[in-house]
Amino acid sequence: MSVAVPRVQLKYEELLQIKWIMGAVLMLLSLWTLFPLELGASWLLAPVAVITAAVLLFPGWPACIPGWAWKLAAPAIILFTATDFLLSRPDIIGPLVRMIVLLAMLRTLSYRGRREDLQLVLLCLFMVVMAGVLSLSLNFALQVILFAPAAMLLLFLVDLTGYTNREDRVKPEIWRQFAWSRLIRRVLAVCNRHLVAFAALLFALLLSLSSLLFIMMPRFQLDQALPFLSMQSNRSVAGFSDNISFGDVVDILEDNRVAFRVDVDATDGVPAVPYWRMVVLDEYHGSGFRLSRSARSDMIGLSTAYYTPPMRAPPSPDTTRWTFYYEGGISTYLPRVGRFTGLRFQNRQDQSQHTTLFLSATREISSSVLFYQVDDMAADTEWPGGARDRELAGAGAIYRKELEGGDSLSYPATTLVVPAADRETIESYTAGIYEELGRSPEDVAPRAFADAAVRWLQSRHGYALQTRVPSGDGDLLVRWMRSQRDGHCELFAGAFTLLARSAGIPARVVTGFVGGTWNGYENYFMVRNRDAHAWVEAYDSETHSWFRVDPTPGSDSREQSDSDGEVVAFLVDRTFSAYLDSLRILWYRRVVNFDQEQQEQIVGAFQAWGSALADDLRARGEAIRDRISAWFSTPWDGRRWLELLRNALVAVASWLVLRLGLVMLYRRLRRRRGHVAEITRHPIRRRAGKYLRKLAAQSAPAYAPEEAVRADLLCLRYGPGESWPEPTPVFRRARTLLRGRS
Amino acid sequence: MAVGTQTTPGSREVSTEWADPGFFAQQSRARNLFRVLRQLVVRPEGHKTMPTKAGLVLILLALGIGSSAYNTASNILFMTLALLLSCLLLSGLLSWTNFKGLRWRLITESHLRAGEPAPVCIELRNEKKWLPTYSLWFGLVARTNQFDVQLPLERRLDAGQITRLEWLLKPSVRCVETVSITQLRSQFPFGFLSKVIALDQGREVAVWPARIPYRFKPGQGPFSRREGVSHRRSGSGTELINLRQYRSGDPPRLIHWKASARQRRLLVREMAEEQRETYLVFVETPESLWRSKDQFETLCSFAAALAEDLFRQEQLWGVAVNGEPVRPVRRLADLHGFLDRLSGLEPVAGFQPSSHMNGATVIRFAPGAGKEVHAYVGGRTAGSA
Repeated sequence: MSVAVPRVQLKYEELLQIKWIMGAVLMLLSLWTLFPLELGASWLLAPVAVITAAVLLFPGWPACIPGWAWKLAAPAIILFTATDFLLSRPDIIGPLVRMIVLLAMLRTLSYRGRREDLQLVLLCLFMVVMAGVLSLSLNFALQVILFAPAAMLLLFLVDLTGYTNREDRVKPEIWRQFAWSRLIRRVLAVCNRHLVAFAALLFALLLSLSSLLFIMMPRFQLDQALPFLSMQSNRSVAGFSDNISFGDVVDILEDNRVAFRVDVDATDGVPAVPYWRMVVLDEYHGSGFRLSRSARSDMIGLSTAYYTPPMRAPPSPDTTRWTFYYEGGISTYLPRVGRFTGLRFQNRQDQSQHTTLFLSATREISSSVLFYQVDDMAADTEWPGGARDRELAGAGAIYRKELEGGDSLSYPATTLVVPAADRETIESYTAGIYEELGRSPEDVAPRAFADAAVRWLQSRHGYALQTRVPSGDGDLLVRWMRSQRDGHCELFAGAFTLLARSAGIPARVVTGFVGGTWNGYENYFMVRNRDAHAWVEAYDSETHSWFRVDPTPGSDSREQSDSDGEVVAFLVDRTFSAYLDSLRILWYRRVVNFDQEQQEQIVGAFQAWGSALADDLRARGEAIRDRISAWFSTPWDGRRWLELLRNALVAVASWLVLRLGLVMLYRRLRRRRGHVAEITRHPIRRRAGKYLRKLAAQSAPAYAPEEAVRADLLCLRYGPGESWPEPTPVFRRARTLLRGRS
Repeated sequence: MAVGTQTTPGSREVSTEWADPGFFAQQSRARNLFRVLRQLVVRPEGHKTMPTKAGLVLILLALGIGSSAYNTASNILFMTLALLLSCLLLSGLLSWTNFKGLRWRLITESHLRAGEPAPVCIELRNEKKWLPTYSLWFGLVARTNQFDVQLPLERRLDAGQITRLEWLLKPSVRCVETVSITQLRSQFPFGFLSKVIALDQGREVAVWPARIPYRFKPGQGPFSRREGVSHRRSGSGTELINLRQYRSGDPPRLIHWKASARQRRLLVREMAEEQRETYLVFVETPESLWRSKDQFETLCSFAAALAEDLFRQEQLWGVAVNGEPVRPVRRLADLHGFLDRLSGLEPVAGFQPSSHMNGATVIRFAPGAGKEVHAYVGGRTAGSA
């Protein structure tokens, strides 16, 4: 066996250095995963990240920490953690994360042995997994893809340094002569293309294996799965709470982020401009609307993964499933376009359902994305009234002096309340609307009044995001109507509500989203915060239903299109940001929301592909068989024999020439590449080449010692490894020779 | 040969046959693959894969994450679990790759000496085409001396390279030692699984008796010849008595080059034989005589050291042990044979000392006081140890 030239190897101390550095890299990666989470640990994460980065740049620094500080560190962390847990009750996740971060920092800073390295890997893994579970973010995919090879490299180095009888703990002494540039040069010298290619192959294999296992792992439909580490948020968007002030919804319009995404099985029943209804606000309080206490008390608390409402949507022949990917921190109320037959969450979910207002809400605002599926959801423009709503028939407006406090009304009477202070003004506006209709109030149906009131409002006010309601006495909405200034959706909805109530038509404000864009890459709805909207639902006692009225200018055209039953194309988004967003939906669909059903679909697809392939092969085989049998059945004559012989000879000759050419090419490439690569990359060969060049550059007469050195250098540069002289003395002689000449 | 080790003069390296881990050893790739696949199901005898502490932690972690994943239906946890399991699978794959193309053999000195360290080596060869081999432990054992050592492959062994793992074995007692490679162990690449391949690849090495100080001064008997007197017979002395034509087999150092040049034919020197007293070392080990174990060991060491020194001085003509026939000692190999015999010598029950080997050149041994052993020549005390 020929013995190849030995390649450069890292020293044991260098392996220990890289191992320690990888620990710090792992720590930084883990901290990166925690940064986006709102766990109340950001005050801790930033300094820890800075310290970790600093010791990564200057690994000798931890040696300056006195011994007593190391001894005090563990008790201090225990004390801090105990206090933190006590003070942060009942929150567990925050103190837990802070404890893990501190422990990991302690391990990162210390000069570790094998056991401490494993502890650090575990702590970092804990941080990454917890961040992934809590955030469900697409970033997690990238973070885990970076984390996995880094952790594996660290474990590999831990294993390598364990194969010695020396102590594998990093010592402060190894950093005394440390320089990043030298270490990088050494690492680059060690790396060769085979190792890099093999590492890349392994990484690809790891990803493929993980993906395969992820898909193949048996899933069970556990409806009672426990919510695990669900992170709650204190923040919600004010416009989607059950108590809004005018302007709250408009504030959201400036936010261009996606609020939720919706996957729909079939788009047939989906309106081009859906109204994503979230909160119904029945009570007017002077500066806005809110969900009255009585209506709120009717909400039914549940804790289940699947909810079936008592009043369902009309059954459809094909079950249509709407999958919502609802971003965190928006609201407890869930957007929906109509009634449905079932609402399914990933896990058991604490929720509230209002069966008469048709509201669905979670008990807490999730800070990460929430997934839920709605079966057979109809795009309702009207909502059936409740049993108590019948009391509203024929009831006139309820004028109240005190909108806040006093004897509060209960739902549904709250939908008729009008401020008494501006009664005359409002009634005059209502009278004007009737005048425009040219009919007496008794002859005007609620829907006709609604149309007229919308026209009246839109004739007096334009749409503007920014508006200023004139100050003065009286109700805010009345002042706005009087001013004839432009306004936003909340003002239009509020004003219409007061006009309708004044006319004896119960009305309530609804907030949610309207419209959205259709992602042209992955075919789903993207509803952004800028699509936030407010509109009204008015009660029609004849049909005993609440019908939707959108008084904001610009909404009538789209509603008209929908009601006419025309096929209105979705607003398709094919921009780059839509493409980026489609990656996120892929992550949600294929990874985060992967379930038993999708698993079965994949198996089914494979089966179908297999059977199609088999059919195709069978058909091709049969075709070939037919052609062969036809060929044989043709009568044989001399010409056919000659043709056969000629074709056979050509085929054999072509095969031989091709094979010979390929073999020669392969051998030549292999010889050239192997030799040249080795000569150009091996450090000893390169060094020999450098000395040879220097010697050649100096034009001195050749003499015997130089010839001997030159011969040795040539042997080191180009000779086979087994014929090498000892390199160090040769280089020493070459240096002496060069010095002597100069 | 490693620097700093003492070796017995004339010792040479002997090795076992090249061995391999038992898979990837066929020339055919298809057969290798089949063998590996079969070994996935039917584990070969002696092959064992055990989780290390880190591996146990990983398994527990995987169980924890798996149960959490099923309890919560969280796909992030399923993904983490898939990654952990992939790491485990990849670890097994890399472990195989690490063993692939690995060959080794045990190299020892042809003989060792009690009390003196000597290298025992494992020569490792990586026959892979591109990839290096890392992280191996070889288990070595010297059974009689009850030494047990784990030899690590500390450095990377590149493709096509050979390296030696060296163990300095210092046997404490003379014996016929069996040095064996008992196992090949590796936790490569991540330290999760410890793959152990049980081996029994060894060889017997004679451990000669330790050298001990002794005193030997034979008296001038009535039949002894005077030492240092040359006789006009050809021999290996220092006095030139003749030049003769070169004959095939003559040692080249005897060629007289100047004379050969003058005569234009090869001439060799014939030296006079220098008369010295030559001895037969005769070792008898009746159990009745050598009751003390320490004394017996002294006997072996004394006989070995005396025989070696006499051979160096060309005063040893033969050796004999108990009732075995006398072996003439002409070459180093004959002496080594005697020392090998001493390494395994034991007291013989029921053996009666010979009475007719009492010549003037026969060295015999008998126990003295305490641990002392006396040497006798012609019935007279000639030395002791």
